[in-house]
Amino acid sequence: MTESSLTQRLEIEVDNYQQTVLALRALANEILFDENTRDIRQGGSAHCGRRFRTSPRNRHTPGTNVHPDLAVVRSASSGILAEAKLGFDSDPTLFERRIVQTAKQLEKYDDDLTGWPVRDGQGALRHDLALLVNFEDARRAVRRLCTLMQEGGLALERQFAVLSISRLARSSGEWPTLALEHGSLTDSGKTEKLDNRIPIRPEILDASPVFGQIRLCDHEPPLPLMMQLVHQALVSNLTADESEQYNLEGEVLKELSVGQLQHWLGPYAFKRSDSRDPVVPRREWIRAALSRFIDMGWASKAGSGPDRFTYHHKRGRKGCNDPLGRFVEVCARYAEQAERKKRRQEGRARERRQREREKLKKRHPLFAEQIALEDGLSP
Amino acid sequence: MSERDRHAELAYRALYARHSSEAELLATADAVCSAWTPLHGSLFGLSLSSREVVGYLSSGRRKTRGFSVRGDDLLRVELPVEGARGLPRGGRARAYLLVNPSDHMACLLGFPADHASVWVELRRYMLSSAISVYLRTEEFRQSLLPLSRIVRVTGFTANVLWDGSQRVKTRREWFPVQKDVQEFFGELEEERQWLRSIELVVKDADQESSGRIKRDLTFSCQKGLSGFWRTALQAVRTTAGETRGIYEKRDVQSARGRAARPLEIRYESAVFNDKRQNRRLIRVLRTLSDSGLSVFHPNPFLHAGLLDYSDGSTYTIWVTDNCAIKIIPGVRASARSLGRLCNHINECFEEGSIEEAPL
Repeated sequence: MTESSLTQRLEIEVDNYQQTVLALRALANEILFDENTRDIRQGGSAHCGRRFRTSPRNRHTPGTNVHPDLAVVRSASSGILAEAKLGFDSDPTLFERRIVQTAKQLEKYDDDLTGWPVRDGQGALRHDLALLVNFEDARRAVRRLCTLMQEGGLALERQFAVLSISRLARSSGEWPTLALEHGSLTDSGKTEKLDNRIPIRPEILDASPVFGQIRLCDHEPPLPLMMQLVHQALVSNLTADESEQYNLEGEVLKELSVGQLQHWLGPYAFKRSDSRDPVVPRREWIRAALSRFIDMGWASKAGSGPDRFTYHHKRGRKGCNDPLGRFVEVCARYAEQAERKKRRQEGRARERRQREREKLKKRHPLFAEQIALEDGLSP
Repeated sequence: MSERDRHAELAYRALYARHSSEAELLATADAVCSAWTPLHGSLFGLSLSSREVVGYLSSGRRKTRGFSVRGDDLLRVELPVEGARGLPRGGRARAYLLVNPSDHMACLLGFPADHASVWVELRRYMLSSAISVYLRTEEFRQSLLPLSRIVRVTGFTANVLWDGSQRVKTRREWFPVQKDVQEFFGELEEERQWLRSIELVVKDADQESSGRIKRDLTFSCQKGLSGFWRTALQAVRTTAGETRGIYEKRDVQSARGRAARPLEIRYESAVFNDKRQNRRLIRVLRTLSDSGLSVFHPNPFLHAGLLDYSDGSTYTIWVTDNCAIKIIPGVRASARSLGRLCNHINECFEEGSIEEAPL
C-alpha cells in the first residue's frame, strides 16, 4: 500500500470512528430523551462497553462476561442493549460471516444479564435489543437477519429493532439521521418516532451536558484521532503561566504522566458509574499516541519516572494549523515504512529458506525431487 | 530638521507631557492631532481596574519586558522597543491607557508608531484581560445612524464575494462627495459588501473632526480628536459594550449545567447549498492565526474541531444547515477567543449575524 492510499484509509477510519461514536451518542440521547420534560430522563444513564454477566441459561456463553457497545438504562425496570455494526463488508462471504457473528452476539445479549447499574432490590431490569447499522447496509442486513430468524439461526425472546444511521439531505441542509429499519422497541412512542426518522442535530448533541463532550467509545480509536485528542487536551490544560510562556516565547515544555492525561481525556468518554464500565481511554491508547509524538519530535520521555513524558508545545510547527491532517500523514508514513520493512523481512526470510533448500538438494541429491515439491507447497 | 519633523517633535512633547485628567489629555490631543501627526487608538474590553493594570504590568514577565506605568486613572504606559521605526524618541514607545470601569472598556491612545508597539505588546502580555472587540456592518450602522445629522462618510474598505462566491475581494473607495450614513449603509447592503473600515467626518457644533474606525475598533484621527471621541467613537464603544456579552461564559467550564452554549453565524441566503463553500470555509478557518483546525468530515456536512493555541480554547464547528455555521465551545473557550473566531469568519468568509443557536 502506498503512503497516499494509507492516508486515505486512515482518514476513512477516523471518519467511521467519529460516525460510530456520533451514532451511539445519538441513540443513547434519543432513548433517554423524555418528550414530556424535553430533557434527559431523571435516573437514566448510558454506558459504553459495560461488562455484563450472562446467566447459566445463556445459549452460547453461559456465565461469562459480555460487553455490548451501548447499554441504556431508561428506568429501574427497563433498558436497551445496542450493538453498533457500522460498515459491513461488500464481499458476500465476509458479509455472511459478520452477520452470523452478529446474530450470535445478539443471542448472547438476549438473556437475563447481571450488571445493570440499578440498585439492589429494585427487581429485574427487562431490556430490549437494538442493532445499529449504516443506512447503506440496512436493507441487506435486515433481509439476512429475517432469513436467519425464519430458519432458526436467530431466535430472540426480547423486543428487537434494527436501526440505521444515514446522512439525509433535506431542503434546509444535510443531517445524520436515525431510523427504524425493522422490528420495534417496547416503548411504542420511541418506535414510532424512530420509524418517522429522527434527524440528529449534532450541535444539540454537542451542547448536551451528558453526551456533549463524548468523542470516544470502548474500542480503540484510530491513532491519528487519539493523537488529536491528546494534543487538544494538553493545550487546553496548560496553566495560565504556561499559556503566557507559550504566547511570549512561542514554546512551552509540559511534563506530565500518562495517568494525568487519562484524567484530562476522561470527559471525552461515556461517564463511568462503577467498575463495570471500562476506563476510557485506556493507558495503552495514550502511550501509543505519545510514542508517535516522540517519533515526531513533539514529545520526549521524561527522566523523572516511568510513564512520564514531556510535551513540546511549540508555535509554528509543521502541521500545527491542521493537527489531525498532520497526524494522519505521519501515521500513514510510519505504517508505510512498517509495511515496507515487513515486506523486506519476508523477502529475506524467503531467500534464506530458498538457500537452505538448495543446500539440502546438493547434500541429498536423491531427495532433490521431493525437496523441489516441498518448495512449491511452501509459502 | 524639516518643518514636518519639528511639528512632530512639538506635538510629541505636548502629548506626552504630564496630564492630570482625561479631559486635559483630550484637549491636548485635539490641539496636536493633524494630518502630519495623526493619533491612533484602540478600543478594547478590559477586565481590570486602573489599579490592577498598574499592579499587573509592574510584575512578573511584564516587569521583565520593561513595562512602566504611571498615573492613577489616566495611565501612561511605556516600554522599550528595539528597532521600531518612526518612534520620535527611538527605543521607547509611549501610549495612554484610558480605563472605564463602568463598561469594562478601555482605550489606548498614542502616535501611530508608539500606539502600534504598545498595542501589540499589551495584547501579548495581557492576553486574558485585554480583549479585542469587533463590530459587524450592521452594528456600525446601528451606532452611526443616530448621528447621521452630524456624521458623513468619506470612504471605506469593505469585503465582497466574487468569482462565483468563491473568493473574497477587498474594495477600497474614497468618495469625492461625502455620503449620508443611511445612504452609505443602504448601498453597502445592496451590493452585499461588509465593512472592514469606515472613514468619517463629524461636524459637531463649532468643531470638525475626521478619522477612520476599523471593525476591530482600532482607529485613527487626523483632526479634532475630542469631537471624534465624543461622537463616533463613543457610539461604537457603546454598541461594542452591549454586544460583546454574547461571547461570555459559553464553554463547558463556566456554563450553567455544565453544558456548552453554542453560537451560530446565520446567513440570510442558503450559503452552503453550494458544497464548495464547505471547502472555502475550511480554507478560511485555516488562516486564523495561532490555531489548529482538524477536519473530521468535510462534505456534504462539515464537522471540524478548532483549537486556539493562544489560550487553549476549543470548539466544534458544524455546518449541517445551509444557512448557518454552528460553533460549539468546548471545555474551555474564552470570550476573547470566541470573539476572534466569529470575527474571522465574518470578515474573511462572509458576514452573517451572530446568534444564540436554538436548542
